[in-house]
Amino acid sequence: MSLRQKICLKIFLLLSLQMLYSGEAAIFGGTTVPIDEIISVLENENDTRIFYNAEWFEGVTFDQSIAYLPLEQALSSIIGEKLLTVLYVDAYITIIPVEFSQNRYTQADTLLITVGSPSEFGRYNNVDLRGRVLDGSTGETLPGAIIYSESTGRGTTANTDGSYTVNLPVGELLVRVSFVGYEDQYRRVNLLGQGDLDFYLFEETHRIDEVTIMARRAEANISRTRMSVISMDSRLLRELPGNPGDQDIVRNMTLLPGVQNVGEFGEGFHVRGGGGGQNLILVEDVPLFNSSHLFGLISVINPDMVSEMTLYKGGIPAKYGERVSSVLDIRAKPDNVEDFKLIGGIGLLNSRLYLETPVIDDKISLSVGGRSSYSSWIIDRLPMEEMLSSSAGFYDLTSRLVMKPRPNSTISLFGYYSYDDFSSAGVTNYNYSNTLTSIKWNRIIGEKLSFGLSGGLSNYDYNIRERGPVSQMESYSLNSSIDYHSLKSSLLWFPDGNHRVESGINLIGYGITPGILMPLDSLSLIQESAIEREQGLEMSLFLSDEFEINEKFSTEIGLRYTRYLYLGPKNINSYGLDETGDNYILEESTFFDENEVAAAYGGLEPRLSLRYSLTGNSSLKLSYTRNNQYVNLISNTTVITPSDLWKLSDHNLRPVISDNYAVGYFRNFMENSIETSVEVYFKDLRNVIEYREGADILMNHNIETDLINARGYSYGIEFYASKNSGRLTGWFSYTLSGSRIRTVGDSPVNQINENRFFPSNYDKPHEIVLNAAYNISRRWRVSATFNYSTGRPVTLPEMVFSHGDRQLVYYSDRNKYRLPAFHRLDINITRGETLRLNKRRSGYWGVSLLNVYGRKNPYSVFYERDPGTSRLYERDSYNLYKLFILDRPIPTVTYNFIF
Amino acid sequence: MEIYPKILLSYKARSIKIGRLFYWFIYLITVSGLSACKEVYYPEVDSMDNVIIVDGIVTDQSDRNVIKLKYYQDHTEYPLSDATVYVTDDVDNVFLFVDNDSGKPGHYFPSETFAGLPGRIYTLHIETIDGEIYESEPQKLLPAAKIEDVHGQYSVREHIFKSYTGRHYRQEVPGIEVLVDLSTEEDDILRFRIEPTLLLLYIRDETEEEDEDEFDEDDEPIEAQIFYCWKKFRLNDEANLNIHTFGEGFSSVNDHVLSFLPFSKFLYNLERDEVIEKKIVIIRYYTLNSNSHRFYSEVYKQVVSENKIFAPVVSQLPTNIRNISNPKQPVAGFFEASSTRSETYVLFEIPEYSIIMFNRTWDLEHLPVSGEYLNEIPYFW
Repeated sequence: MSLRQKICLKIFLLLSLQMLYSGEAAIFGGTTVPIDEIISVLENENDTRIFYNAEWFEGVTFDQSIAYLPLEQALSSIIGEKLLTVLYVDAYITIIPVEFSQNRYTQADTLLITVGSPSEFGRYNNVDLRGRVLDGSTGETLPGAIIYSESTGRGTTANTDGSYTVNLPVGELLVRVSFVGYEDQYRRVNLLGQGDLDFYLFEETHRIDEVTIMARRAEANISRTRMSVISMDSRLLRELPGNPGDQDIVRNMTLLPGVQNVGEFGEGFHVRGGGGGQNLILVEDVPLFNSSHLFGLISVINPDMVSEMTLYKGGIPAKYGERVSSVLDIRAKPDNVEDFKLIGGIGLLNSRLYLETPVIDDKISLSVGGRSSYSSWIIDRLPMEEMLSSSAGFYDLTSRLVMKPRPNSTISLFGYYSYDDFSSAGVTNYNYSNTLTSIKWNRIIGEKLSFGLSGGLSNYDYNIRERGPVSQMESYSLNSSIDYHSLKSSLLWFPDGNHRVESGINLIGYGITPGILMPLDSLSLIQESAIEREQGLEMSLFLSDEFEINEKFSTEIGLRYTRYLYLGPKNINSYGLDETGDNYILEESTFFDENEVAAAYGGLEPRLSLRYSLTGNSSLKLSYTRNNQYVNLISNTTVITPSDLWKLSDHNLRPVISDNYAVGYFRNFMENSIETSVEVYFKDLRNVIEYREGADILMNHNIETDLINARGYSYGIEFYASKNSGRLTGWFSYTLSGSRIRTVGDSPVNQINENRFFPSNYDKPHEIVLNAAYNISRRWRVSATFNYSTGRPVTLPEMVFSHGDRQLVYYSDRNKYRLPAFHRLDINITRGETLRLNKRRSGYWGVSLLNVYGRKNPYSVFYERDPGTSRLYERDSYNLYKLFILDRPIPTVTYNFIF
Repeated sequence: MEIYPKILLSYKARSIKIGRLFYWFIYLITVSGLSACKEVYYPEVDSMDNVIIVDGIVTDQSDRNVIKLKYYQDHTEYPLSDATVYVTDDVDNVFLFVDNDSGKPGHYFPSETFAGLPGRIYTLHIETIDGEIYESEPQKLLPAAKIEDVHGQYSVREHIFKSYTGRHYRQEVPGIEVLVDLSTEEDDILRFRIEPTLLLLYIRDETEEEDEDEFDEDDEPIEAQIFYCWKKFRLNDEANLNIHTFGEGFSSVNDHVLSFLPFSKFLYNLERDEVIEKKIVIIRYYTLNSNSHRFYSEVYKQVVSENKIFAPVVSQLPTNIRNISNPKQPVAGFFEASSTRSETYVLFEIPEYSIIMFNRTWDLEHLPVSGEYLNEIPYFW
């Protein structure tokens, strides 16, 4: 090529690049392609990962030949004059704004941190620097964050718990810490000897225009070993459409594939065809036994206290047990508080306030929160005679104290209390409460070991007082409660950079008071009665190892062993059938002394998760989990109610055992901005509790005779696609599933539907959720959620006939029919917080319109007697009704603020 | 050993509790700005055409044996006539029941005088004209229990009224709670059901009042128009039966709640000029075997399960009838074998001293549902 030809070519190239920089498509004698295709080729050609914000290149296309230039040249061409620069960290490349990088570096220059004891200086050439990488706002750990010393070329990534260890030469170093979606941090470190240093990274919300924040690694769904895991951080929780009056984190969970509720409202949730009592809801490691205020209108979890919640639908890690269907792990914030912060919200039904503050800088921090309803205040002002002297309301309180006596030691105290109270005309009173407390101590021992010890208490208590519901003779009070005590220890060990080994011992004590019935006054003929208290002990050991087998395979293998003892004092009854086979008869009753073992169960619970990386943006996963459950929610209603009972497994009621199998394919597109997955699951259940016809659970001294051990299975396929970045975000999910159950009794008395399989109460074959949010501007955001599901199974009357003088109902087989399909559209508009950097206060408004097109979704079907006339003893008639909660569009407004 | 009616009470308590939850649920939703509502639901269900319904009973009383047969068609019950119906016992006796011309089609009565014997086991057989054969499970007829005492206690009950504007409201109603003690000499657990009836005796004075302004001595004196009336009310809409618990056999039951007698005459549909004279309680009770007791227990659960908005497990009624020729064909209803007795008690009350007594009187069960004598005191007053 002649000199003249070279000059011409350079001019041509420069002109072409100029066109590129000006944001117009370049015509380069070949095809132009969008940025993602260029980056994809560069990643494949150079075996690297490149992180960038696609919106910086919106509307720009590039000649595809750029992709085949040398890497640095190609990147230079791409960033052009956009005031962007390129950071190289290990095998990763990140495109960030120039000024951002420069600012960090300048700030780093002003601070020199000494690590290690001066007495050790000169003793070693290289020492270990270790610590954790945390979100500076929330205290959350940042697994996968990169710690890198540019001058030495050494670095590492933070483990799954955010901890890191990197071996560096002693002396003054510049350490850079980075994590996608967070500002990079540069620290000048004077490394004298082995020591600890924690890094706090901050999100880039107010620094860079239109950067999308991702609270976890974008490709985490592909790269992590576990599957069937749903995580929501506080930001995502905030952005979902509001419920009447407030955000509801449990309700929001039910918008995700495989998680369902039974109706418009209602307590609890159901995971992959499992019952509500089969979900372990842990709040700071302590289980919650009733998750709803006001019969399910709102969950008992204050959203302000939540740092992150993770739902394990399958592939449950070995450290979790106790329930067979799912684990919802709710973590309170914060671990680290640097500044005073006051968060609050005013909603339709309640208001809330949450405060976090350092007590002693870097040593002790405190958070306190509370919510209270004002429905009683409203009721008092209603012009309704029936509501005189009536009240209905709730409140909950949360507090957490975190102490760091040493850099490697953390002690946290957590307390929670919720209370619901209803009183009708001073005659009837219902109240129920949750009390949770926990104390946790975490200590890092050496370079590769950390130890955790926690103790927890949980209590659920409900009380009913009826002052003459039918007559004064029948005035009574009824109390029932469950107590849970736990002591849990765990060891976390990183033998090398590849393995993450966790082991532990759990001791759990249960105490259940099924019912105490008392007369309320001297006129009452109610005889004082108490159902024998139950107590049990559950002990478990677990061991798990998460490691990469090779570049393609990673696995998490775990084993859990549980031993359960049902303890006296207790009368254990054995039952047989009478000569007709229609009725149980008591055959034998055996008394067991205090702490004598009346029944014992146990077993191994293997856990396995396996991931195979197909490409850089796709993987195949499978999991297997076995779980045993020894405490059961006894509820003879489809909807969980506050007065449902908990019952321990005993001589007659065997523990529930489930085997969960799942396989999934995960693939991301467009630089992980679009995540997709398909998961197939099968769940085999043994000793599931079913209920005899007309089962009665209230003050039933022989409740086991109304319960039937059954078998069941559920299966399904879950399709999920989400877009996590850009102005338009959201997800679409479709679940095709089934849940079947059958009894195995040998007599009609313990059979349902003649032992044939029938749909469980939670069987909803089709479920679709479409959620979309569009950021109109930096402050305005509009979102919509559409939800469709097949109606749940129901048992309906097939015939009404007269017998004697009565009208009786002939019911269908159990769950033979279905309620009409459920579908609803909600929209939400949020006016966001101010973007000023030095703001003293920020707040945002949320306006929602629920049930936009006024669909009447049946909540339940029930019989009601029509009083007919004002006279006594006239023949009453009955009608079948369906109840719906929302029968028209309902607007709601909330205001949230932060000081 | 005595059994207290605590379990029965807890059933009622549960019923009330759920009812209250319903109201609270509605109120809460209203208060929270939502808009809960209910409407009558007519679901589409499988056809039950040609299913037969059996309501049969044999007792140890000759006038209390009847087999009522119906069939279901287009959501309506029709009498089933022309069937061959007979009852056999465990010593191979056969008792034919016929649909005679009693004016009640589908009601089959014994062709000859028949009364069951305690200790015997009876089986119902039905052959319809289209060839279907039905048979009951064998039912043992147990000896009759006896009433030991009937007594009362002042009390207050809540009642839901419906005004003429259609609005419902609750009101406390004072009255007398009627309680009964029963026992059996058998070793078996005492199981019974009761059909209590209130016989209300009242007077209505329709004598014309004299007009003082137009009084004339020659006028004939106004004839008194005193009506001595009675009417019967069935006291329990629910199945009234005892609920036993597991354990030793209970041979007696005390303070079983029979019913509630409110003081207010308006609750008995009486008019302003009608005056209650006496309240008489007729207690028809049946001694049940375990099968029959289970059936009526489920009837009771079904009746009290109103307002259960949380979708409880429904109470399916057991049947002891099978279609022999087509076992998959459902059958509704029940064949019962029970001993039965009836006793009548009149209420005697001295409110000033809080005295309530029920004294046994002659049998008045045979009285028509209502009636009246003009200026003549009936023999049973």
